[in-house]
Formats: sequence, C-alpha cells, structure tokens
Amino acid sequence: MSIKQLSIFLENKSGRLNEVLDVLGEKKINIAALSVADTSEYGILRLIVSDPVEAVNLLKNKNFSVNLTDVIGLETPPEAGSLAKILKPFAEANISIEYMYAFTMKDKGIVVMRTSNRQLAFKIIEEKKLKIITLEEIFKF
Amino acid sequence: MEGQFWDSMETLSRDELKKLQLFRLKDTIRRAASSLFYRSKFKQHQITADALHSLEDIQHFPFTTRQDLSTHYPFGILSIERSEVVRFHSSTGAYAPKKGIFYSRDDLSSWASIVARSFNTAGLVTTDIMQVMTDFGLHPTSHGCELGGEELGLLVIPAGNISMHRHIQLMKELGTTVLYLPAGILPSLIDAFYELNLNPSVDTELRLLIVGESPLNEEEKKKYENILRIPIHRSYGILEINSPGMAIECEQQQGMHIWEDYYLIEIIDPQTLKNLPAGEWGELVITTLNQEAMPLIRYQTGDITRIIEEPCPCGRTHRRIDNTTRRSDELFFIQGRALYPSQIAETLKRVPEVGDNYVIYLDTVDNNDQLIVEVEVVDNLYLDNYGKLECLTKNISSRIFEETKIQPKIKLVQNNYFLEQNYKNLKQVVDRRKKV
Repeated sequence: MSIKQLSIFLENKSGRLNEVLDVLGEKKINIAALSVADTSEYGILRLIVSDPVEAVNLLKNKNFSVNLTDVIGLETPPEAGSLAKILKPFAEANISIEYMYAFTMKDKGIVVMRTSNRQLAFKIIEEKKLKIITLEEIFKF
Repeated sequence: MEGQFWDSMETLSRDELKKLQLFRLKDTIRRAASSLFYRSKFKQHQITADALHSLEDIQHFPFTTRQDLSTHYPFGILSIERSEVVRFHSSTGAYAPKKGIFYSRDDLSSWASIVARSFNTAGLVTTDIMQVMTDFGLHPTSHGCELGGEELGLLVIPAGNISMHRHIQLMKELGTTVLYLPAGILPSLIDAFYELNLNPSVDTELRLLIVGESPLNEEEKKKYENILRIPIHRSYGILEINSPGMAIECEQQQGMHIWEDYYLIEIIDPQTLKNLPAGEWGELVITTLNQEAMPLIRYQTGDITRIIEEPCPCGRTHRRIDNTTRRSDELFFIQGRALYPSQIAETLKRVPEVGDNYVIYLDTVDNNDQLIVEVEVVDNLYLDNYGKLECLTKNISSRIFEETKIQPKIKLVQNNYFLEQNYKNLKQVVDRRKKV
C-alpha cells in the first residue's frame, strides 16, 4: 500500500545534490518526484524512484546517509478543491501530516504524504474510498 | 615612592633571592617527599634533597606532568595530613583531565599575600573597588581575587557569573574602579557597554582592568585598550598552583613579574624536555617554593612563554615572563574559558545518535568567539525528520553547555562524512578566529 521513499541527509554544501543524482543516473534509476527543504545547516532530500531498494544500496556504498521511509501516495482528481476534500477527514481524525509534496502525471494529480497514525490513515482511505497510488503505477505512466 | 611595594621581597637583590630560593627549594623537596607520589618518584630516580647544592641541580629531578596530577587525583600528591587541609579547588568540567589542589591554612594566607602583592603591583590601592567577573565555585580564581583583594584592603565585589548588564549596573551603583575578568569576555563586555549606550571611561569610574585565565596578545590588548580607553594589565596563574597571583604586569606593562620567592621557574623544550638558554621561548616549568599542602616539583604548565632577563625599570628584581599565548598541549581558550577537546569527545560519546568522531571549529562571529562542533548523525531513524534532527541538535548543544559553559553551535553531517575526508589527518580543533 505504501510507497517506499528515499530520505537522504545532505549537509548544506554546494554539489551534494548533484552527487546523489549522478549515482542514480548512472544506474538508470528514474526519479518521479523530489522534495528538498533545507535549514541553514543541512537538508533532507526525499525521492520517489523507480527502484528504491537498489537506490539505497548504491547510495550507501557511496557513504550517503540514506534510508527508506513509508509514505502514502494518493491520486487527486484534476478539479479545484479536490485536495481539500481528500485531506479533511484526516484532520477530523486528528491525524497530523508530517510533510507532503505533490506532482502531476498526465492529467492526474498525486500527493505524497507522511502522516502520524498510519493505521488510522489507511482506515480513512478505505472508508472514504480514496484512490491510493503505488510505485508501479507511478512508473507505468 | 613610599608604599610603592607590597613587601620587601619584591626588591630583594638577585643574590639574596637565589639564596632564599635554594633554602626554600630544599625544604620543598623534603616536604614533597612525604606525599605518596613524590616518595615513590624520588625513590625511582634515586634522588633526595641532599642532591641539591645549587638551584641548577633541580634539573636532576623528574618532571611532574598534568597526567601525574590526573592519575593521582585527588589525594595522591598531598604532602600533609588530611586534617591539616582547609581548602580544595579543582577544574569544573566532568570530562577535562582531573586536576585538584589542596591548601593548608598557611597556604591560604600566603596565597592571599601573593595576590595582594600582585594587585598592588598592577597599581591598585585601598580606595579601589574591584569587581570580580569570574565564576565562584570549584575553580580557584574568584576566591583568590577575593582573598588577595581583601588582604590589600580593596572593596571586593564577588559578582561572579551574572549577566553582563547586571555587571554594568553594579559598576554604576557602587562606582567600581577595577575589574578582574578573563580576557576572553572582553568582547562581550564591550558589546554590553555599547548596547547600553555607555562609554566606560566616561560613564563609569573604571580606571584599570586586570585580565587572567585566558591569554591576550599584544595587538588584542592594544585594541581593547583603545576601545575602552582604560589600561589593561595581564596576569598569570594556574589552577594547579595559584590562580590568580603567580605573575602580573607592573605599570611598565612590559611582561609579567613572576614571584620568584614563591616559584622557581625553568623554560624547557616541550619535545626534548631539555632546559633552554635564557630568553628562549619554551614551556614554562614551575617548582613551588612556598606551598605546604601540595608542593609541585618541576610541574610542566603547558604554557609557552619566555623569561625576560633584563631588569625592569619599576625596581622589582623578580624576572618577567612574556605572554603565554600558546600551549604545548591540546588545551584551547574560548570566551575566556579553557577547554580540552576531551570534554567535547566524552560528551558526544554519551549521545548514541551521533558518532564519536568530531571536529571543533573556533570562529569569530560579531567579534565574539563561537564554538562549532561538527558531528556525524549515525542513527538513520533520524534521517527523515527535521523535528528529530532539531531535537538532537538541541540535546547535544545543551550537554556541551553543561560541561563547558559555552553555548556551541552544532553542525550535523552525514554518517561517514569524516571517513571520506580521511579523519585521521583532520585537525581536531580548527581555529579560524580573526586575529587582530
């Protein structure tokens, strides 16, 4: 159900991001989505890639601090207000969203998020019949 | 000038001074031999006080190292009965090499006297009001200032570790004329005057500053004197013997008179441990001549300086030592405090989420010293959460503050970061501070 996301710790130094991208590029690993926020000293690079397990191994061999995190991918219909509608039940159930980012594929919007209380989150997804998206689907587009 | 000197010892002729030194040295060696540590050390080197015929014969005696002090801490070097001891002082950090010193009743009064002599030498008089800005507690300096200041008849304000603004309030309220402070906090004192829109030489009664604890080079001293428009006298003392009180600048401000009736001084090459000719730079080695509870023989201070042999125009016959701006070991000074890298290392060992390797950077930020500790995050569970990383940073920072009383900046780097940079070749402490 979950998507395996790569989380990579990057110290704030120019060229660090490029080094990561080079390692993945060389092995033809595709990147569907990427998010990086930074504090003044370091950043966490989050990636959705075509082969997360292989990517982790490659990066670990290059001494990067990397791990896999389970995140939830949801499809949002291409219409105004759809994301608000999707997120509302989560808020009502007091589930907090640690972080999220979004991207579009063809005409579909996709949000990736990390929430507290994942069990409850999945229950809500089931009840509200929200459309979960998997890694395979992302890379099938 | 009448009353210029504190006591007649200050102007003793060199010959008389040397005679007194030899007499006290023999006595010191005998007394030291009643401690467990020196008894076995002398035996091992097959040496006794009888081997002393001249002051130069001290060179046949073994050195005492900082390691010896740690190994035999706390009671091993004590030369008198424990019931005769009245005071103990030590370093404050939990993970600094342990050093402790005991004083007998007589030690306290001779300490008071040598500090009074020092303050008198800097030009303080009974009408002066001295505010002591070093911490009161385990470390001896503040207590020594209090003892010596009162002995001289000053009004002593034991202000200690209070905010800079409260310090300045006190100066205004009481009309403080003299400050005793670590050289390293001069920048924050100046900042505080600036914030309060005060000109210290006009808006306060301050007329003289005595700095100790951390070294102050000539250029920095000139700079601060220009900003403050108040003369600064440097002083020297070490926790293991007397701090403050061992040496101080007279009105000439050309080196610090070290009190040779209390201390026998040598300069050695820190690598070869050979005595160096007069005037050369090397490690200061001290044999105490007037300590009863815990005499130290040929103690390697770690401070690099030189002896100024030329007589001083002030008339004191005790020779002067130059600035001690370097160390022969890894000790470093920041914000007026002395730190060992081991204090950072031991603190980091107690934080499981980070590695044992680290690099310390010393920077200048807005004219103030900043301590930066770079350390690897080894727990991968921390990698996807800014909140957790933030907590980790705060945790490390408060632990280092607990140990060192310095607020550090923590720089987290990825696991194996140091491996890539060939950690063994990295310097543990990188001093990037702006030199004046």
